[in-house]
Amino acid sequence: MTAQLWERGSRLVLAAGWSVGLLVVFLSWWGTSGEATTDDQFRWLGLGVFGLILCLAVSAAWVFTGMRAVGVRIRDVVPRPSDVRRPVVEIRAVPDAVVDDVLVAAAGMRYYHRSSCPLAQGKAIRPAERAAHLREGRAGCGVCRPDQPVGVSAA
Amino acid sequence: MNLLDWARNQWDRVAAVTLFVAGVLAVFLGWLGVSRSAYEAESLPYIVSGGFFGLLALGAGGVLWLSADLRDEWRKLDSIEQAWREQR
Repeated sequence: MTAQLWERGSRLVLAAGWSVGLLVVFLSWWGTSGEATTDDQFRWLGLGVFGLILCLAVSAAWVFTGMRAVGVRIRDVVPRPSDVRRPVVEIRAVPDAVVDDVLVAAAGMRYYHRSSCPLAQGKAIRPAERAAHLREGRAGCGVCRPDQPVGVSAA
Repeated sequence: MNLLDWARNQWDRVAAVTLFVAGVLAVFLGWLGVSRSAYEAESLPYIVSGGFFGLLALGAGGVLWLSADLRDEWRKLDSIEQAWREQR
């Protein structure tokens, strides 16, 4: 069931406020028209101003209550960008392939790589055993992680 | 949709416009009464009846119009909520 914009209490306050306010303004008019001097009329006029303010105050409360309810509902209903599901884009730096088991390095390089590592592309690389790379003082690349099982990378 | 159906759907806006017109008319009649009064004590009842009731009618019209806008917004939120639930 959908929630109400204005609860029963708000309706009652509006109805009661307007009923009393209109009655007071009517009394003010009745009193003012029954007096002959302005001094006596001003007392009734003050009562009318009170009735007027009462009606306008409960009306303002009514509108503000409605605006607040709408604002709260907007926060509840309208989805936040973080709630919107988007497809996850998977980025693989190292494709699953047998060829990844080939470890390569070029002369003078400090790290050895999988053959598909982007850091090894475009260089004069040569395949070698891991032990050979280690003997030449190289360490495993931190991007393609040639010492990890195939498919595990830093990306 | 004919005019009667439209007025039934938009009862609050129709009432608001009616109250606006009544308010303006009441203020005008009040001013007319005051301007034709010979002395001050005779004019004050016109200020209360014409001025005060006219202001109240204008205020009530404004409240009705704003309430209609808020109800429209509430109904839109109903449809957004329904669409959002269906999407989930």
